[in-house]
Parts: sequence; C-alpha cells; structure tokens
Amino acid sequence: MLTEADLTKQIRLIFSAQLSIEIPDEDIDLLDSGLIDSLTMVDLLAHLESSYGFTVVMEDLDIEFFRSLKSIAEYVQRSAKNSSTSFNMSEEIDG
Amino acid sequence: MTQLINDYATHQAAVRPDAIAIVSGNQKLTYAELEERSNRLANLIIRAGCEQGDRICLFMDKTPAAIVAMHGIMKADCVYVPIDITSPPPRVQRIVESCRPRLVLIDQAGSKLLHAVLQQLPETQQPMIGSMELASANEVGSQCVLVANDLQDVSATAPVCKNSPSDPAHILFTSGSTGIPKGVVLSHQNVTHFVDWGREYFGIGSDDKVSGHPPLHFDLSTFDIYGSISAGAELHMVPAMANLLPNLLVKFIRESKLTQWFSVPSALTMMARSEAVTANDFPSLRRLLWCGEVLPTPTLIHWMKRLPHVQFTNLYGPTETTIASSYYTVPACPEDVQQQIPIGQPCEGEQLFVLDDQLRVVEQGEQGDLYISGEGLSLEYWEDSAKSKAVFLQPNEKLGLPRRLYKTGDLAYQGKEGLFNFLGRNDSQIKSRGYRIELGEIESAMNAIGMLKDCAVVGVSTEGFEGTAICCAFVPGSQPEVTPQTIRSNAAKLLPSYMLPAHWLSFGNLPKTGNGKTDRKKLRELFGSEVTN
Repeated sequence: MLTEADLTKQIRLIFSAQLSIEIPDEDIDLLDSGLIDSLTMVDLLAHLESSYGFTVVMEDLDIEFFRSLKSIAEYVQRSAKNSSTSFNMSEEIDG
Repeated sequence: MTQLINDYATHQAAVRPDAIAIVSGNQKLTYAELEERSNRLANLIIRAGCEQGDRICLFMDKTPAAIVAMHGIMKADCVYVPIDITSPPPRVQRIVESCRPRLVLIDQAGSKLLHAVLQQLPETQQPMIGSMELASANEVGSQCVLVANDLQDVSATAPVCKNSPSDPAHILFTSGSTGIPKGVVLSHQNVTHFVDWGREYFGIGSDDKVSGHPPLHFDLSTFDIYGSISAGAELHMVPAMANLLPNLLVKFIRESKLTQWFSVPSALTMMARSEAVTANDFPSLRRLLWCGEVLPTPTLIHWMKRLPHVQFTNLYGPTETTIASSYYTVPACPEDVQQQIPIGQPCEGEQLFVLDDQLRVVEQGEQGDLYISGEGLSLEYWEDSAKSKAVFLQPNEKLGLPRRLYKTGDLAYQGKEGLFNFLGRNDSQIKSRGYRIELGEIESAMNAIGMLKDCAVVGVSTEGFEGTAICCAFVPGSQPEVTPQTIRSNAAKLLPSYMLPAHWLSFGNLPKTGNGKTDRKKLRELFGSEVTN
C-alpha cells in the first residue's frame, strides 16, 4: 500500500510528466498560484482517473480538493477506496 | 436619453434606486449605491488631476468595486483599461508602457502585480495610484493618491461630463502577432449601439438575472455588464474558482436562478462533458448565448436536448467591431452532429461582406475574406497607425463598399438564406478557450527565454473544450536538460497561462518545406495524433 507521501510524490510526477507543469514546492497553493487553471484541471482529472483506476464523480468535486498536492492525494485515496478497483498502485508512473 | 455608457446606471438609479444591480458572493450593490459611489469616485479622480481622455488602468478582480471604478472613470471623462491580473508582469508592463495611464486603480488582488510592473517603469512613467480598498491602500502606502473605500467627504453629485458619444470609453488589449499586445480603442457609441440592440433583441428586462462570466479585459464582459445595467437587471458575478470545476458553474446557475447565461463555448463544453446538467434543469433560464469561438455541435445538441425551454443564440464578432456583429438564434435542436451552426445575420447597424483579394464581393456560397463595417467599428488600435491601416481599410469608392471596413482575418461564405458561415482563419491567430491568441506572440516569448535553438508554435483543432490546442515544436539549445517542463516554467514568466502550449515535441531540426520555411502543416499532422488521443 502506498503511503500518502509516496502518493504526493507520484501526483507531483503526473504534473511534471503528463501536464508539463513543474511544482516548485510541495506545499504550494496550487489554486492561488494559478498552477491549476480550467484546462489543466480537465487534464489532471483524466490522468488521475487513468492512473488510479477510479471514475471522477463530478457532483462531489470541491475546489478545496485541489488546493495542494497533499489534498489531491487525500482525494485520490478517498476516491480509490470508494471505487470497485482495489487501490494498490505501487509501480512508478511513467515519466 | 442614453448617449454615454455611464448614462445607463444614472437612469436606472433614478428609476429603481433600491433594486439590486450587482451580486457577487455575499456582496450586493443597488443602483443607487452604484451611482453614488461612482459619482464620488469620479470627483476624486478629477481632484487627483486626471483630465478628459486620460487612461486609467484597472488592476482589479471582476468585483462590484471594479464596476464602480469603470463608471467613475467614464464619469470623469477618462478611458479605462482593464488589465488581466493573471498575466505575468512583463506582458502587463508592455500594456502599461503603451497606454501611459495617468492613474491606476487597484484592489488587493491586483496590488502585487502592480508593484512588479512599477518596479520596471522609469520614474517619469510612474502613474498615480488609487486604491478601491483600504487594505490595498495600506500596501501601497504614501504613493496612494486616493482611497475609494471611504468617499463620504467627496461630493455625490456627478461631475459635468465633457465626453461626447464618439469619445473613447475603454481600451481592450488583445494578443499581438509580434509579441506586443495591441489596444482596441472603443467609443461610448460603439458599445451603446450594441447594448441597445442586444437588450431589445433578447428582451432583457428588470426581472432578469444575468451572468457575469468573462473577465473584464474580454469584450464579452461589456455586454454582460452594460446589457444588464441598461435593463435595470441583476448582474451575477461568477466566482473565479467556479471556472475550474464545471459542477460549480452548474450549481451557480441553478442557485442564482439566472435567466441569462453568456459565456465562451469552452465553458459550455466543459459543463456538458461533466454531465452535471439534468433534463429541464435551470427552470428560470430563458436564454443561453455564446461568442468567441465555434461551439461544437455535439455540445449544442447536449444543451438543447436538456433545456427545451431556453433560447440558444450564437453571437459572432471580434473585439475590433465591439462585442458582436452577427447573431444566429438556433431554431431547433440540430439532428446531425456534423451540422455547422452559422454565425448568422448582421446585428442592426452592422454589415458583413465576403470579399476576394481585390475587395470584390464574391459569389454567394463562395469562400472569401470576411469584412465588417457599421456602428461597432472601433476607432483604431491605440497609437499604432501601421497596424490600424493594415486592417481598418478605406476602400476605393468605386467598389461600392462602406467608407471604413475592418478585415477580420476570418474566412467565411454566405449561404443561400443569406446567413454567414465561419470557415476558419487565414493567418496564425487561434482561439483557445475563448481567448484570442496570436501564435507569433507565443513564439516570440519562446525565443525570448533563450533556451531554444528553434521553435514553432502551431494550433491543432480538437473536438474538446479547449477549442484549439497549442502545440510547441522545439529544437533544444546548447544547455543540457531542456525539457517541456523547464521551457513551460520559463515561458510562464512571460505569457498568461492560457497561452502556454499543452503539447510538446522535441526535434533535432524542425521539418522544412521545399522553400526552406518551417513546415507547419507537417507539424500540425504530427501533433494531430497526439492531441486527439
């Protein structure tokens, strides 16, 4: 099972490898800094779905889920737990 | 009688002083408050030394205070220039250098950007600073010449207007192909002509609740704001964060009980994709308008099937001809996803022409360049006679065309029923999420970061919500470790996020055509498969 710290690292890698967005600092506010905008949000959701095998339930989404890498990791953990797919993403994501 | 844009608010304040003019989160502003505050601000602006025709930049979020500021500026006979406060400082600096404001008005959201810009400006070009809030005034300190949060000691009587309807009201800066944004100068009558037509055509009344979605530097926002105010309706500002998640936009329309939604197609596509709109949703909604780029027909079908009680209208027109020049209200839900939605017929007072390269009208059904004339035609590009001359044409009288014509750069044809249809661009301008972008501006920024030996930026059209995807082909320079991530982070210091490429390909040499030019067609093909995956 992945720890939250591992998951945070992986999500940072999704930003860099899949969205070409460098997160300068793990604790940065992704919304206030403008690192996530409407276009990257759509791509990010698609990559989270495909990497972690769950389906985003749009109605449940709250903007605060995307405030930081940590909050995204928590959101992924909750979503993956609730979905039918078991959550054991242990391999590194292709970078 | 309404002659100036600011007369709308004055009229409504007299007719329905206590009606709500603007709603933004928990904040509400009545027509009387809008009128009184903007009158006091106008007096302060004049007292600070601003004169007729002076430019005043707005470093502000889209808030009720910003709307007060716009009215105050116009009542002081000055010209407002809304700044995109999400743009990086070097880009904003070029706009400030170009329009040379006498004064800038800020709120807390804009004060940091202003600081970064002012640091780069020579002493002689420093504008005066006015703050719309106490908090941002404290940040600016002694440089602040006026603070507009407490206006009690200033007269609430409007100053006497010197402006006439043909005087400039605002300048909207849009992407320029050489990397320098160009300012479109719009007069009071450019705007009031469209607003008066739109209010009549759409039947906007005082019981309407209108969305305020696009940012202030977008010309669509002009219609939200003044369309609503001219009708005595309620303008509901869409919270910026709602743009990130379509379910939040849907919730906003539902909970605010909006009667009119006006946005760029990307927002509509995003909401459609999320499946958040249910059958017969938004019972209060009367009309849905879009402008800025082509709305994919599948998205339109999605919406029309769910909302049979709503009128759907496509508006078309570049900033240079003010908000929109043609319209098409979709008569029935299209049956075929391939069916093209026309840009329609000219709005009252506007004329559209499809011409060949000799400025002769082409046969019906034949493709040509789209030109626009009429009441919306902008005065000029701000202090750029070369660019103005290139697109604001004065055709030879023998051709039987109007005295002034704007060359849109769009390709079009006129169908049998007289309706105009859009066919694409004849240059390197693209539309992405409603933003109008010159690919040349992106390329000059890419060259400016000094990491690349060569680069070419192309637009690849997608069926997705971004409209056209921005793709960058690059040849790394001599530095090791040039990756899309490092290029992107450096380019983000020069370009707003909507201009940053989303797709990247590294080359040893860029593909060339027979005559040695970069083969952009080839690049678009190469990116094409990646983008649609």
